[in-house]
Amino acid sequence: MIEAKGLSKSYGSVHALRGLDLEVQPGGIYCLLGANGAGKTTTLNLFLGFIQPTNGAASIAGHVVHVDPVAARRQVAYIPETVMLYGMLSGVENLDYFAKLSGCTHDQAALRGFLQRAGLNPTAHDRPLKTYSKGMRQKVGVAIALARNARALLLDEPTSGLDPKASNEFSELIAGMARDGAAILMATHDLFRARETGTHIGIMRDGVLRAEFVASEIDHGTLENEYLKIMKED
Amino acid sequence: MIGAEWSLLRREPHLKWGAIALLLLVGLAAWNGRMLLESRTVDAALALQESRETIDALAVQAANGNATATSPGAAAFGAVSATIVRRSATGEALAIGQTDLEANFQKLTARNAYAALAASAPDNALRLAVGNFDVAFVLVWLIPLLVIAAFFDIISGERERGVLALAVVAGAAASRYLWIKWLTRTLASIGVTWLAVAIAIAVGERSWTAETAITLVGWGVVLSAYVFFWASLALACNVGRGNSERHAAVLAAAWLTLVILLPAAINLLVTNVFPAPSRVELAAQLREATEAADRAAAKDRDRWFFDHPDLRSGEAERAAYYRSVAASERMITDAITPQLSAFESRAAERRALTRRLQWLSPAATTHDALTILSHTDGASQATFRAAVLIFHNRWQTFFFERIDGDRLLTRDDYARLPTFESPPTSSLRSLRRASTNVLVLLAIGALLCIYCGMRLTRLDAIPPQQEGG
Repeated sequence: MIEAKGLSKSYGSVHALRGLDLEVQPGGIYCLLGANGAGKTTTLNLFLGFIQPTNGAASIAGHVVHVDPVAARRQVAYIPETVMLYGMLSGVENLDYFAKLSGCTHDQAALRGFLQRAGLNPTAHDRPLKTYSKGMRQKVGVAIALARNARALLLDEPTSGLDPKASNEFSELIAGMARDGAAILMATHDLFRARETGTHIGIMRDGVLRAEFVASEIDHGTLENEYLKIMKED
Repeated sequence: MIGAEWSLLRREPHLKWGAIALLLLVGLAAWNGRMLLESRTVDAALALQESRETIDALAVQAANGNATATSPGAAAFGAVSATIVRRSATGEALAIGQTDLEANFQKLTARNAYAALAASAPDNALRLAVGNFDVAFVLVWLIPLLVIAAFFDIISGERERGVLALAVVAGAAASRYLWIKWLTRTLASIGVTWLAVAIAIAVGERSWTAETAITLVGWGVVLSAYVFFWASLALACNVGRGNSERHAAVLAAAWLTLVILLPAAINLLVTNVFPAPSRVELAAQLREATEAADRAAAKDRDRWFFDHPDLRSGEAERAAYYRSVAASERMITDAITPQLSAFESRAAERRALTRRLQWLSPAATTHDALTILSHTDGASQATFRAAVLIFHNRWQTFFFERIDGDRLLTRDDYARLPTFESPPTSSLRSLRRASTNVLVLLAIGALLCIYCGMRLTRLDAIPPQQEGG
């Protein structure tokens, strides 16, 4: 569903990403770990079609993103590190707005249903988004993904800055979406969350995918040691 | 999509309050214009009534054979004056323009042509630089600020907030999404502008006529084109890669340049290239001409009495005196006519140069169109002055024929005194004249939109600093 083949991106002499190969099947959650500047966000931007690859290809549901970005994006939902949306609109109105942008029209009950499934308390549905906490905003982002019935989900450090409870709730939410058949690619700094939520884990450094693990086959201590070892390599 | 954008737009409190403040200022400016016009109208009506009463009284006295009332010379050079009233045009209260530089009414006698124009002042090339507090001034200055507030971050803000990225991923084509956003905001700004014009006309005009409707449409169309220009400029500024702060600074600089500095520079240039003829010089020439004419007339009169010594007494002497005064006034008029013509041609040259240079500033272009529509532009003032001179000539001729022919004034003569008709104004004709300005504004806006259209097809959905990492 989400696939990269030899994916590379350079800015002049700077190689932001080099020959990335990865695949996320429906139901899978692939967590990309790495320090700042490792190439995680570049990878996501390539999958989203925001930037063009120098070499290789990123594809979503068989659509090569840089060849047919519209078809690829039709299958994708994206949740950035901070879901800003429109502060003056309520959660329901924001959801309605972005659902309409996708060409989906849902009635009020359906929209509230998506927000509820995303874990947003009904008392908050009609409050302006500017009064929401970061965790609540992330939930609206998830609701937008649900409303679009996206088959692939790209997340850029979605739990960064969330408290442990909100972070845990968010992880459960995306695990639920994976169980419903979505393929999820998530960039994160959070080793613990990657180990707990992900089905696969990749560690990146300097634009290169240095190691890959099956989450169920590695314990937290080993993952941490491997991560630190890669970060310390010359 | 436009509905969703509209719902978004009306939730932005700074725009809502900005629009309300604009509408209040427009109402205040229209009220100010109306009060000014009404006070002038009252003064003019009083002066007109006084003139009529004097003429009626003299007519009665002429019927009774009163010597002063029947003397055409005494009437022409003292007792009788015509009150010239400039008719208020539809929309004048909205763009006071140059009408505050010219007298709304004046008393005119059979003396020379300079006296007929004594109350007139040289028209300012461009009032925009100093800015009357009228509706035209408020709208020309403040509409761009409202548009800048609504548009300065139309793309960069969406990108910085991450909304553009979400919208693009949600399946919206970035260019279509942004065009719809731009269109909604442009239509909303145009809506506010039309509302402002409607309020201005409701407050500033005493009655609604077909002419009022044409003025409303004219003002609405001109200001819509002005909004279109600023909205296009803001979009053109946003298609670059700068952030919102930079765009706000660039647009503020554009406002300063196009609305304040350029019109002021045009004003300065025009007044330096074509300085107004010196009033002191004109007054000195008038004095010299008067003295020369008086000397010549007295000489003629003395010679006449030398030839006709038997007539040097009573009525005949008085008639001869007035004939010499009439001759003197004719000579003065002949002497200063070239000066007055130079004055008018200088004003015309200034207007022509101003009109050529105004295309550099959309604010000046818009202001010009608004004063044209309100009949308060320099050309309308020149038309009025020309009409005054024509009337003055008729008035002089009426009396001079009777003075030269030694014909006493009768009651019927008073009834036949020439009356002044202010030149008619036509809102439709003004609409045609202002259409060039509208077309220029639309053309510049359209060019900016074409440029934006080309740039939007390769727009970045994310800020440049997020491209790596």
